[in-house]
Amino acid sequence: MNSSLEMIRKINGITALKSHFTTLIEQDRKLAALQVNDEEVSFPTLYTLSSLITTNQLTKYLSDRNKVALALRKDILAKERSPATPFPYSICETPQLIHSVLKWIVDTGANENLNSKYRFVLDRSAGLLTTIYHDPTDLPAVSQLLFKRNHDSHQTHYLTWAYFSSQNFSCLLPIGERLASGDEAEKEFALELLHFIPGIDEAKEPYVHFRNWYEENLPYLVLNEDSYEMTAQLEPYCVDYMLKYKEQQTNTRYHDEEFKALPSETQKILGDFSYKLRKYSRSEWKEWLNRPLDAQVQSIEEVNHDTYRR
Amino acid sequence: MILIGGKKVTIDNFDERMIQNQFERNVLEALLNSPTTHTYRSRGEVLFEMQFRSAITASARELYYSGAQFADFYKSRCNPMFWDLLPDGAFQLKPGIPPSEAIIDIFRNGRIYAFECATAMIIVLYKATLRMLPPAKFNSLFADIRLWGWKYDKDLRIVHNIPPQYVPGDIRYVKNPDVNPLTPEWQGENIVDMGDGTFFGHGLGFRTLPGIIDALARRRRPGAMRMPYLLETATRPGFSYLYQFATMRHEERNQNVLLFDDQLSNTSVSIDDYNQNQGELLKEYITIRFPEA
Repeated sequence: MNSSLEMIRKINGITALKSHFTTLIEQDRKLAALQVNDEEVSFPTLYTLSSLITTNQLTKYLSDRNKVALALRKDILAKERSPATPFPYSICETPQLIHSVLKWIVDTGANENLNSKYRFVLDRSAGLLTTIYHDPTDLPAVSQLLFKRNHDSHQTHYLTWAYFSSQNFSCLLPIGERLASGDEAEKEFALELLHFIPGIDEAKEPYVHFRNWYEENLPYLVLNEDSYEMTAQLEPYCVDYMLKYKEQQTNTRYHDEEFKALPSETQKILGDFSYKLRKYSRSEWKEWLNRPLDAQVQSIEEVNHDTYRR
Repeated sequence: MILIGGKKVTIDNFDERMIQNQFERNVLEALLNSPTTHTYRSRGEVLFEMQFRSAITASARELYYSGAQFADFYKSRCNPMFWDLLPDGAFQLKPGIPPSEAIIDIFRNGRIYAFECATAMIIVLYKATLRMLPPAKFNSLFADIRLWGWKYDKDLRIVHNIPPQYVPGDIRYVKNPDVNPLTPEWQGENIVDMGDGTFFGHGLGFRTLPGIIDALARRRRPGAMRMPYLLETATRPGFSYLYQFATMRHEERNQNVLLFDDQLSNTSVSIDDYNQNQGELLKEYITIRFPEA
């Protein structure tokens, strides 16, 4: 932590930081702005100084990172969004720059909690990252923020929505990792987010259960349009059991309509069994798949019965 | 089609006096004319659902005129006399406050309150339940209310699925898949089917379905390609479950109908029995005394 501004904020607090920065401005406006441009300066420091920067018209001296960050802050806090946006940087023209600034905001700002407006800016920045850029490398930082919000008893509603809106199934991994955490509250929140995984609530080792489920079902996961707004139980992704059953979307020769008409539990049983048999013996699986559906269901019952008897 | 005790019933089984308004008539006709079979234990249960659905729309209207504002969870607010505002934006009933009073306060002092659309729907359902159950029963059932989206709905036995048929008073959902990520509170809107071609959405007011879709479309991200759309799912409280508490009210207060013959000796029957045998009873008895409402 080489930046003096960072040290003052962390050691003496934000009032001292503002006072120090005001003195710097009185001495040399440009030099004051240059201190904010220091690579070591974090978003919470920039956020704390934002009103002083604006009222003293220092924006022109700021680095691109800081200019974009303050423009994003202003846009996020804008009361009216339509028809014209006050944000002066086009995402189309400078996509990488805005992406990197959003990442910087979340990376350096997630662990601070200045006030509710600040939290709002952080959550919305994380939402922009996941819903617009869809970059899987951003997911650990956003999941970190999500768990921090839960830890502090702050609402996670929009952030959860934004996180799963990344439309990247690998976003389940950073949550699943928390199932192995020693922190019970963290584990509980991870279980709440992953409740849609069959059997996870009853699993003796939820982390192992999650990993097995993830590895088995990843190729067959699809987006689900459910959301917290319409149900208490968010189910962002679900398993396409027909795909799991027949392996490839293009395999249309297998009883598609008949399969769709089955109860969802039977679809799940067929999908799971088909996957296991395919893994065990591809030739046996092909032979099994060509049987009529009711014969397939019956063969599963027989296998289960034999397993039970053993 | 409606089945009561295994028997198909028609509109003739329902006396005009049992149907309080056009909305209830529409609900009844929708259920009677449905290709789906709706099974009830008694005619009283059918009437309860009709009245409950009517109470849902009345409560939606009441919420609109209360002046309660739309706000995301960051800006939720409530009357601190009745509720604690939690850090996550939820409203927790204060200890010692009767939940019925706290729910009524939202409608009485709406301008003090701000919440988003899912919480609004739960509030509407609580208020409708309060219209249908006596306050004492309501207070014992919902002693520890916490209002936060759809998350705390266990007491209402909310059913959320794709129903075989939509009925006025249902809560539907219009999804806005390309919502502007800066305004995720408009990712969709929970709406009450008002039964007259309009829907109520908290923050949007009363609009037709195209009107709701248009309002959400204005809250999409720049360059959005997908329009908002109505989902097939519907949300309803557990009418059948809650009915038992309404019927218990009758039992608790001994609300039977008193019948007096020409010797002025009296006998009593339940309201349901009276409704079923009304024609015969009117011929046999000279005075009929109804319990107080």
